[in-house]
Amino acid sequence: MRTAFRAACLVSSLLSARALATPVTVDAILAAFRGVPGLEAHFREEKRLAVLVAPLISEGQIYFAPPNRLAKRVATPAKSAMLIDGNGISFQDEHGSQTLLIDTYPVARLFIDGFMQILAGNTEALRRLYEIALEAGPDGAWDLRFKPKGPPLSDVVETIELAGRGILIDTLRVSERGGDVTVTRFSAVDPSRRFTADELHRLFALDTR
Amino acid sequence: VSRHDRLVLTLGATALLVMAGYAAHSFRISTDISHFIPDSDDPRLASLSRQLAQSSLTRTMILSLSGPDAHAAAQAAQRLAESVRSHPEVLRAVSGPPGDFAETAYRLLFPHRYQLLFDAPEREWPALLSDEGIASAATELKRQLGLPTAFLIERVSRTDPLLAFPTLLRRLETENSGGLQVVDGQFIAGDGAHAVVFVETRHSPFDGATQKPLLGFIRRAFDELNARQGGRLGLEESGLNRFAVASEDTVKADIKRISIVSTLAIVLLFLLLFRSPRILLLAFVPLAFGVTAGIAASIALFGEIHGLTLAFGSTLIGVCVDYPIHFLNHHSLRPSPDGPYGTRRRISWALILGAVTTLAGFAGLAWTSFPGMRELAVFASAGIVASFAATYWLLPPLSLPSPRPVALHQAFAERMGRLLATLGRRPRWLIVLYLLALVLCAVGLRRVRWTADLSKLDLIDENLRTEDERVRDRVSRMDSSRLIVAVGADDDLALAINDRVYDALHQARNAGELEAFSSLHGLIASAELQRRNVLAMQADPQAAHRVVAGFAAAGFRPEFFGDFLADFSQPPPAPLRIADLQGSVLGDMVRPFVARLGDQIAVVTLVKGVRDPSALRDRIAAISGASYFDQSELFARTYERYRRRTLDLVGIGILVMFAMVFLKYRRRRPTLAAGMPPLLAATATLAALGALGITTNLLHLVSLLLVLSAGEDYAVFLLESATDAAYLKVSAVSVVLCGIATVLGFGLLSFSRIPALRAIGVTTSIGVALSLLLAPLALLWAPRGGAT
Repeated sequence: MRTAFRAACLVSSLLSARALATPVTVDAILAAFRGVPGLEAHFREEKRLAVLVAPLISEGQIYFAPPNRLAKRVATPAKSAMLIDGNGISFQDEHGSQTLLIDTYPVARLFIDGFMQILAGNTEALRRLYEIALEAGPDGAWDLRFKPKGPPLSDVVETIELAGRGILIDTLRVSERGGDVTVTRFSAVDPSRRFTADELHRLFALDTR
Repeated sequence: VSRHDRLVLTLGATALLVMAGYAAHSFRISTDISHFIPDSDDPRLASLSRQLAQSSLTRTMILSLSGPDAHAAAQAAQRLAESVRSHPEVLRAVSGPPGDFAETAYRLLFPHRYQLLFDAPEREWPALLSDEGIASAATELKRQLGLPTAFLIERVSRTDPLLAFPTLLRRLETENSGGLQVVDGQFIAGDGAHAVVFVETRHSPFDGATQKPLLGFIRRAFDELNARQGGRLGLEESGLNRFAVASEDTVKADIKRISIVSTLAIVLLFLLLFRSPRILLLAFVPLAFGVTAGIAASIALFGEIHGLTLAFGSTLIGVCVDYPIHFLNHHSLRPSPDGPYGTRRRISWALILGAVTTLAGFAGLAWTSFPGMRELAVFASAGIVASFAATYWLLPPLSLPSPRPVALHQAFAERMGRLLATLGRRPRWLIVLYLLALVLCAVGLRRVRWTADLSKLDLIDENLRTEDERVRDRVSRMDSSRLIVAVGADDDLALAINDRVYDALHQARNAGELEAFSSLHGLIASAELQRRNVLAMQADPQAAHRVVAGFAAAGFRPEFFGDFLADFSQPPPAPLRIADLQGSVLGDMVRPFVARLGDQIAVVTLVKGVRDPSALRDRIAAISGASYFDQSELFARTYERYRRRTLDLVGIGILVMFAMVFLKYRRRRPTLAAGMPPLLAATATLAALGALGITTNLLHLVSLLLVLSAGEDYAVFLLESATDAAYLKVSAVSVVLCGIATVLGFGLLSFSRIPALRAIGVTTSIGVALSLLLAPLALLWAPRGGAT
């Protein structure tokens, strides 16, 4: 589920990259999420799990179609696809497919709700769930940090950080309570992606081919 | 009125009052379909069938709500469940899993994960704990940690690196695939569009007094909810109580309609021909006796009266009215100089013979293994005896010594006399009639098609049935009528048999004999299998350390597996028992699979898409204590057996009828004359059903008994008066009036919405009409010197 949220944050950050022509504020970043026609980007994810000596690395493409469809298609090390929509998460790889009963996992539900609020640019709702801090650096660099305000989210997630420069976001970092950290870097971002009906049907469906 | 007459009338009135009082006080109508579940050749399966029909499964309704989207439907389901829960008849109304479902299920099952893991532990544990197995498990854990669904296993990965618990959950999920999802905390059907509420009632679904108000309450609660939502919601329901209430309503409406129209028709007929309120009232005396005695006898013997019996019984009006018609008609048109008692004497043999043969036909049904049919036999027998007795003993003292016949009545008799005289002069016409009947038999009998389909026998409305099927399909995709049953003296013995059933079904699925199955084994195994898992798991004391070492070699940090090492080496908890699950949030998952059969426990497995029933049956037969139970097949086999038995009974009824007629006449020709027309009419009726393309069932066959008895009555009356033209024309009027009354009674049943009642109505209407038409054949075979 954290992966889902990471993906959600990833989209949010990429969206914000497009519209940050004005001074960087939390509201400006979240406001940039509204009215986006669609998005596509390449990603490289590095999961540093406490239980593993070496990180797990995956690469692929990510797609977002407003208002609430996200597809993460992994190309390496093995093909897989993950879909998120308002109802939950579906996943498919060479071993089969799985649809998660999202309401059976309260933390997962909060992640999905948070995701929807980010897409909606709903600063107030996000502030109810997270303490949000913006740290500006030299040369237009900035770091947007989300810290869960309370359980059950805070039992699992330590912080979520989006880092970028100017209008470009290049890193998403999710730190978990157990010491696990996931860092995702983005490239070849197209924040003006418009999907045809065929693409919507093909890209946002469970098919790893 | 003599003292003797007064005594008889007083006794009669007292008997009627006592019967009516008892019937009114104890009247209870039932529409329980299990009443029509026959005793099988396998009493255990029949018992199971009955048990299932009366278990909590049948007391559970499913409400399926639709809305603009799944979220709206889920919200509506939650609100409807809250409303419905307030009704006193509702034991439980559940629209979603408990809020702590996942956590409670985890706490309950996680400690037992190793005990429940394998079906062949002596083979599978060594394989898992081998170096290759451990390396493979480490690779799998690493793969799963890299997936977007990693959050599902992160919690348990350190204490359960072998992923025993996720494996259990996945097995459980696979076993219940196609079932319910959860959206917004509410159950959503497999189609993703309909929200679902389960409502369990306190009383039997066949208890109309409690179920009807509840159904009305649910509908009103939904209507209010829907009005608040702007009419965008939809509700479909599934529940045996809906069939029971609808059947009761339909049966009552049918009975009311039949009773009113039959009564009106008889009133009109009597007023037209007799023009005497006194005679009209007299005609209803035997009717009142017949129906009251039928109800009272059924209630006395069975405690209640089934709707089908009552509906069938109400048509007895058409049979019971025959006796007063014969008596009053003869007494009006050709009164005996000795008064009413003289008239009775003259027709007494025909009356007695008719009543006794009718009784013989119905009494035969009492020897069946069909509770519903036994009740029907009791109702009919009591009704016939009572109406005959009332006609025989009460009508003469209540009749005028010599009533004045009405002109129209006389004219009708004259016309009938001329018709019969013509037939007597030209027997060719009768031969033509006989040949036509034979042709009908030859053509139609070949087209008769029998069905043993239960749906053709029951009281179920088609629209309700299709709605019910739609709702059930959304919730469970297993076949509802096919089960594998493991029966044991206690929970654990039943589970032990169920373990073997699971194994056999697994093999059957791999062999393509069935598509899928849903088993309790996905949740719990027998204590014996759980113990075997522990023994196999702990066979190597160093296994846990080898696991950690193997995982370290695959890139895991060994220091994270301290909890696993401690857990693996600890003594296991006591085996998980059914009772542990029943008292938990998982109780709802257990309930459909466990039934109590007297002092035994049955664990049920549901199957789907059985492609090779005989292979599957053979597999299950090899397991002691397990049975393959195909409810449709069981019913079909038993109904077929019962149909043959009923056919035998009809045959015996015919023989008894011929024997009685022969005992009366002691000559072959009058026996033939009295017996052949009803036999031909009954055969021609069956042929007519075949020719009309009506698929026949048990109730058509039972109705043929009525046809036989009516036809025999008509033939005997004509035969008895064959040598006396004046007597013959009066008997002919009696026969026609009886025929009209019977067709009016039964004909209305042909329009019933209930297939079972339609079957009775169609058969008897056609049969009685044919009996009437073919009755003059008695004259063809009648001896010239008269029957006696």
